Amino acid sequence: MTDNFRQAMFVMLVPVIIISHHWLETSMTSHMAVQLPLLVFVGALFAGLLQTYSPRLVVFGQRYRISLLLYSLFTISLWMLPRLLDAALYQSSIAFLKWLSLPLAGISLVLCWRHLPFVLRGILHLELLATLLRLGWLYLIAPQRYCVSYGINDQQQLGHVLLGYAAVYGLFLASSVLLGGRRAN
Amino acid sequence: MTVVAVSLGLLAWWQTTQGFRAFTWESYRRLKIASHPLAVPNVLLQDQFGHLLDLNSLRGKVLVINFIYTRCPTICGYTGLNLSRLQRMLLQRSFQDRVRLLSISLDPHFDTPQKLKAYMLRFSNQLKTSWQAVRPVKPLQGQEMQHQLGVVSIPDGIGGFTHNAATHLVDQKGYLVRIIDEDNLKLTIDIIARMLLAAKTGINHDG
Amino acid sequence: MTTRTQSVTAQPRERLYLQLYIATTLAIFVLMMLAGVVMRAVQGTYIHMSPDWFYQIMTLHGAGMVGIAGLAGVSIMWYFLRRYVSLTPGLFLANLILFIIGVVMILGAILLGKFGGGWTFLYPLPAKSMGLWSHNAAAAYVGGLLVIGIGFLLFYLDVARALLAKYGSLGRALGVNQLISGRIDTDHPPTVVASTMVLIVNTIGTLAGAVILVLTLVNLYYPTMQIDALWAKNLIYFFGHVFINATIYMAVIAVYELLPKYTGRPWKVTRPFLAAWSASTLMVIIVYPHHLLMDMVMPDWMLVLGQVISYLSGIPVLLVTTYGALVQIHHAKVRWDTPAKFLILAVFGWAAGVVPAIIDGTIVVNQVMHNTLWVPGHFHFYLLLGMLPMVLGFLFHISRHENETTKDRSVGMGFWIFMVSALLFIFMFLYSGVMSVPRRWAEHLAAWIPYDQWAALFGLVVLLSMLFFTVKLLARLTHIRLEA
Ligand code: HEM
Repeated sequence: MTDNFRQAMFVMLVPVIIISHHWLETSMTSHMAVQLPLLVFVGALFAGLLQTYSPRLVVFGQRYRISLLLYSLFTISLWMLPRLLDAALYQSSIAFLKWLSLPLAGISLVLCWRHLPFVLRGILHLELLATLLRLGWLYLIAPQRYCVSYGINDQQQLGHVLLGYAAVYGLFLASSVLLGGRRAN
Repeated sequence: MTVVAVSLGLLAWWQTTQGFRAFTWESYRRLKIASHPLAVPNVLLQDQFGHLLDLNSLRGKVLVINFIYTRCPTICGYTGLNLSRLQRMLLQRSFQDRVRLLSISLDPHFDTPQKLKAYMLRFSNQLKTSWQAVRPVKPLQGQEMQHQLGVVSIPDGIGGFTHNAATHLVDQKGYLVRIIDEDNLKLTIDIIARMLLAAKTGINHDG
Repeated sequence: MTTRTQSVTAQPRERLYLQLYIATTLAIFVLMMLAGVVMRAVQGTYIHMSPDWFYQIMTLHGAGMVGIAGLAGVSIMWYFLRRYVSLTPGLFLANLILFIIGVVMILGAILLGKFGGGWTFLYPLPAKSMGLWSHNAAAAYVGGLLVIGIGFLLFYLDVARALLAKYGSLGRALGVNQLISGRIDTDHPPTVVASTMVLIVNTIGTLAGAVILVLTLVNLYYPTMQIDALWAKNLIYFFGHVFINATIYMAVIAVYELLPKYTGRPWKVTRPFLAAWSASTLMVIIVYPHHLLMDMVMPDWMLVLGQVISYLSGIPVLLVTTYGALVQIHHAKVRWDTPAKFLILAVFGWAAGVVPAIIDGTIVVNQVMHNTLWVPGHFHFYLLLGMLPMVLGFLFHISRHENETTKDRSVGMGFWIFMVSALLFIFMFLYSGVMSVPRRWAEHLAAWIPYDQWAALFGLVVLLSMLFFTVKLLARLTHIRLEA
C-alpha cells in the first residue's frame, strides 16, 4: 500500500465509521464482523502513516514489541466476548472504551508486527484463523442466544459470516505461501 | 515489562468476565447481582383487575418477578406454567402470604388488564391469589426499570419480542438479590425459604 | 578418529538434542508396546484387569504411539532437511520439551485421573464419563494434546521459514513449478519435497486440531457451549488421520536418503515422483478442508467423499515410493546391512498394509468388517511393519561406526525375529477381524480367546526384540553422527 492510498483510505474510513455506527450496531453481524474489525483497521492504517513520518516509532515498536503485541491480543480477544458487545450498547463507559481500545490495538499491532519472528507471526495467523472457525461454528449452532440485544437469526448469520471470513483468510494464507514470491525475513 | 503486560491483560479479562465465569451479558448480570444486590426502582403498576399499585407497596414480602408479554407464542407460556407450579409449592409450605409472584408485561400498550387476565387463566382458574400479572402504567418507567435490572427485549421481526427470560428474586427490603433460571423451581423455593428464615431470625440479608 | 570428533563437536548442541529425541523415542516405543501386549494378554485372560483400566491403557497406547511416531518422524525429517536448509536448533528442542510436557499431562490424565475416553477423545465422551473420570482429567488429556500440537507447529513453522527463505514459495519447494514447466530438476532433493508436503498437510491438520481441541476444552467447563457431534468427529478424524499418515511421510525420508547408500544408486526426483507428492498434497488441501470447513450443512455423499479422499490421498506417494524402492534394488549390488533390511521391510510393510485398508474401504466388506480387529490389523501393518522399521533403519544407520563393515550378527537375527513375530501378531488381528471379533472390547467371548492368546505371545516376542534393539541403540547413542 502506498502512503497516498493509506491516507485516502484513512480520511474516508473515519467519517464512514462514525456516521454508520448506529446503523452497524443494529445487527450482531455488522457490529462484530464489520464495525469492530474496521476500528482495528483504522488504527492500523493510522500507525502505518505515523511510521513513515516518524522513524522513531519504528525503534519504539522494536523495543516494546512484546508489550504492544500483548496489548493488542488481550484487547482484541476481550472484544470477542458477547458480553462486551451487549455492554457497548447499554454502558456508555464501555462504548467509549470500544472506540478507544480497538484503534489502539490496531496501532500497536502494526507497530510490533514487523519485529516479530516468522514463527510467531505464523502462529498468530493460524490462531486467528482457528478463532474465526471456532466462533463461527459456536454462533452457528448455539441453541441459545449469546447476546441479549440480538436475535438468534442474527447470531447464526454472524456464524456464517465468520466462517466465510475464515475461508477467505485461509485461502489468502495458503496462496501466499504456496505461490507467493515473498521471502521469509 | 512483559510480566506486567500479561498481568494487566489477565486482570482485564478477570474483571470483564467476573473471574472467567461470565462471557455473556446474561451470566454477567446474574453474577453481578448475586454479589451486589440492587435496589429495585419504584414503578406504578396496574394488575389483571385494573387495580393500581406501587411496587414499593409490596415491601415486606419476597417478590418473584418474571417479565412476559401475553402475545408471546413460546417462552412466556412456559413461564406462566412454571409460576403456577411454584404457586402450588408455596402453598404446600404455607409461604403464600409472605411471597408475591409478579409477571410484569414488556408490552404495556397491548397488555391491558383483560389480556393479563386471559393470560393468567391459561394456567390457573383462580385469579385472587399471591400471583399477579401487571403492566407498568407509565411505559417509560417500565423501560427504566428493565434497563436498571439488565432486562433487554428486542423486536423479533414478527410482531413480538425476544427477551432474556429469568426469575428475579427481590427481598423484603426491595433489593434484587438473585437472578436464576426460570425452570429451576427447586432453587427458587430454597432461596425463598432462606430469605423468609433470615427475616424471621433478623439476619440482615444485604448486609 | 580425530576428524570425526571434530565434525562431531562442530554441532554439539544439535547432536545432543537429537540424542534426547532418540532416547525419548525408544523409551516410549517400548513402554507403549508393553501396554499393547498387556491389552492382548487381558483379552486372552492371561492377566486379569478391570475394563476401566483396559480402556485407560488403550487410550495410553493409542495416544502414546501416535505421538511418539510423530516425534520420531520429526527427528528423521530434521536430520536430513537440515542438510539443505538452515533450521533453528532452539525450535527443534522446543518441540521436544513441549512434547514431554504434553506427555506428562496425558500420563497424569490417564494414570491418575483415570481418563479412558480413547485417544480420539470423541465428542462428547470426555465430558460424559459417567463418573469414571473428572473434567479435570479430560482437560489434562485434551490440554496435553494441545501442548504437543503447539510444539509440532513451532517446528513446522520453522521449516516453512527455512523453505521459503531458500525456495521463495512452498509450491517451488514441492516442485510444482517443475511439473508445470516440464523441466525436471533432478538435483531437487526428495527430502525437500517430502518435508514440504508434510509441513503443508500437518499445518492444516493442526488447524483442525486447534479448533476441536479448544472447543472440547470449552465444552468441558462451559457445558452450555455445545458443538455438533458429527462435525466434531470429522475434525478429529481429519486431524488424527493426517497426523498419523504424516509420520510415515516424514519417516520415508530415511528411505530416500539412506537406501541409495546401500545400493549405490542415487534416488533422484522424477516427474512421477513430483506429481505423486503434489497430488497427495492437493488432495488433502483442496478436497478435504473444502468439505470440512465451509459447507456446514452438507449432503451425506460429500461427507463420504471427503472421508474416502482423506484415506486415499496417500496412495500416490505410496506408489512412487514402492516403485522407487524396487528400482533401487532391482539387479543392484545391494549391501544387505541391517539398516538396508529395515528400510526395505518398511516399504514392504507400508505397501502391504494398504491392501487390507483398501479391502476395508470397500463398502460391502466394510459393513461386515468395520469396527472389528481388522482395522487395528491394517494400521498396525503399516505402523509396526512400515513406520517403525523406517525409524529403526534410520537409527541403526546413523549410529553405526563410520567404517563398519562387519555386521552385528545378533541385530541381524533380531531383525528376522522382529519381522516374523510382527507379521504373525498382525495376522492375528486380521484373522480375528475376519472372525468378526470387535475392536476396542476389553473382554472377549470364550471362542475368541485362543486368538488373543496367540496374539499376546507374538506381541511379547515383538516387544522383546524391540527391547533388544533399544538396548543396542542406546549403547550406540554416543556414536551418532549428524552426517552419516
Ligand atoms: C508390540 C507391538 C504392539 C502391540 C502388542 C499392540 C497392541 C494393540 C492392541 C491390543 C490394540 C487394541 C486393539 C483393540 O481395539 O482391541 C492396539 C491399538 C492401537 N495401536 Fe497398537 N500395538 C503395537 C504396536 C503399535 C504401534 C507401533 C503403533 C503406532 C506407531 C500402534 C498404534 C495403535 C493405535 C493408534 C491403536 C488404536 C487405539 C484405539 O483403538 O483407540 N500400535 N494396539
